Amino acid sequence: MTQNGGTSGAKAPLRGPELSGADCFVLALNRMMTRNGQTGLGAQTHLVLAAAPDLDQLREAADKLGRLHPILTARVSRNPFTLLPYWRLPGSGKPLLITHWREAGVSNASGEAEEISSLQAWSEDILNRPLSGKDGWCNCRVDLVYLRDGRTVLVLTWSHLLFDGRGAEHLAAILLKGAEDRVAVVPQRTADVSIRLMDRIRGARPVVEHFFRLARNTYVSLGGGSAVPGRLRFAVKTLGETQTEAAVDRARALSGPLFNIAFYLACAARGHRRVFLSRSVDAADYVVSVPVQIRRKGIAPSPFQNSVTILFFCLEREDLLTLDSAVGAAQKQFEEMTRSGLDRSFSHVLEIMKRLPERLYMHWVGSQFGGEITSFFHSYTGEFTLPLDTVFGSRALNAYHVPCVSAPPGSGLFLGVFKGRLSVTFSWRDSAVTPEEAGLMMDQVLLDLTGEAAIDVPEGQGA
Amino acid sequence: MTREVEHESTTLVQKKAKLLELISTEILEVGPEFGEESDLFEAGLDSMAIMQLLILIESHFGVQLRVGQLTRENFSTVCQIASLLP
Repeated sequence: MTQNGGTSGAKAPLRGPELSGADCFVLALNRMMTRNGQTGLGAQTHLVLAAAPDLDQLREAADKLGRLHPILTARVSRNPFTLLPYWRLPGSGKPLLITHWREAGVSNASGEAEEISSLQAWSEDILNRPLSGKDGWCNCRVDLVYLRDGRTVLVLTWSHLLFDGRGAEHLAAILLKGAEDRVAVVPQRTADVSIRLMDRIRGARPVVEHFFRLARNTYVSLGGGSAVPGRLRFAVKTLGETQTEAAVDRARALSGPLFNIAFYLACAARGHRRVFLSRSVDAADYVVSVPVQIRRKGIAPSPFQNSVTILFFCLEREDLLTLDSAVGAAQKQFEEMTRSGLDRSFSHVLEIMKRLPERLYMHWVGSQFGGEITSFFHSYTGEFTLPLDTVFGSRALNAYHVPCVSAPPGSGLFLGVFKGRLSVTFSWRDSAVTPEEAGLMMDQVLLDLTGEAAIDVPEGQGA
Repeated sequence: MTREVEHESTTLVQKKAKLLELISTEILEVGPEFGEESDLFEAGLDSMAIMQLLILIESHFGVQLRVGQLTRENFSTVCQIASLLP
């Protein structure tokens, strides 16, 4: 069944699936961002290829993908009676059109490719604009960038309202398989609708109490809690296989072979501490919201939904003095939060808040956290879900995400693995972090990850 | 088979059955083909799921596994996990 429920001839807008609890958090964050002159919360997924892919196959797959899934050009509406937000689907899907770009000096690109100075500059430019494709409004666009060294990068730019990083990987996988997969019209339910409101309120209590405990701490973000727009910037470093093995060994030694959440979070927190110290600020606490996947494991997922709950960690100044103590503190909190069921409890909070207008939603978040949302954004998405070694005839070399961040907090550190190589993406608003501070951040994170002081991998290229 | 060995193998069977029930009802969404020898990581076991499983093991079997026992190999199948339980 397709997103338009098989009514391919219909032209009138259709009522699509309701937004998930996590989608509604993104909806509210989007509103805060756009009201303050920031583009909405989006991200890019970069697939680095050894050479140009077969353009006819790629065009055909993108065309089919857009036609099969009208949600790619849908908008969000709110039911006036239930107040629940849902996707208002166009009557039929539009083909996804691919735009071609070439770095200056590239001669063997598709004839329609427009010249750009570099992948890095182009990516930042796209992420700083409202999302739209060749054909106007969209929630996801596809671009192909030809690099000077002969490689190409297939870039998906997507609205975070549509899905999370894992969802983007699933969509990329569907595209690369020729868009033959017909995913379900309604995303799998991540919340049990049979739970009564009073039971949800009871279920939400542990996390609300957790918030009150967190509110006693004094924590800050690099952006300082104010919604100052600033241009979005990012840097990507991809480690070599040996360096990635070193990071995995260190994670195994410090947090055990089965839990890496604590290790990567500790690295991200110590990177932020390094920047604060450079400002002569020794912040007392870092409260960090870490998304945890709640896609029902073991079944074919529908990509079109943010399917996460959030765990709120609080790392104190003393915890971050060494990597060992930082990992230990994060690991202990991970266990305590799982034991207390805070993952499920926060899912109840997200469900209860779905009906709140976006402005009230963010007001509540701000009041819980003293004007801040989190000290910084962070996620570790694990192994990139790409089912094929070749992408329309071209070998896949690397894949990573480039998420946007809002201000506040103004920065975020994100990690993922592709074919045994770890990529680290640091995103920031230039109102919150200077390029020198971004360099300090990366230095500290790479040092903590691998134990090595410097790693020479070109930024924004990955492979 | 002596009575002790028989008892031991019976309890191992029970442990496997209980683990399988816990994993398939509370941790993973698995089909009827999923069994004691199925690969848990292929079925979607991740950090969060492992932590939840450890807590379930603690509450249902009264056992806290040692850090050294928390390896990928030991958590690869229901059979492997059952063999860790005293």
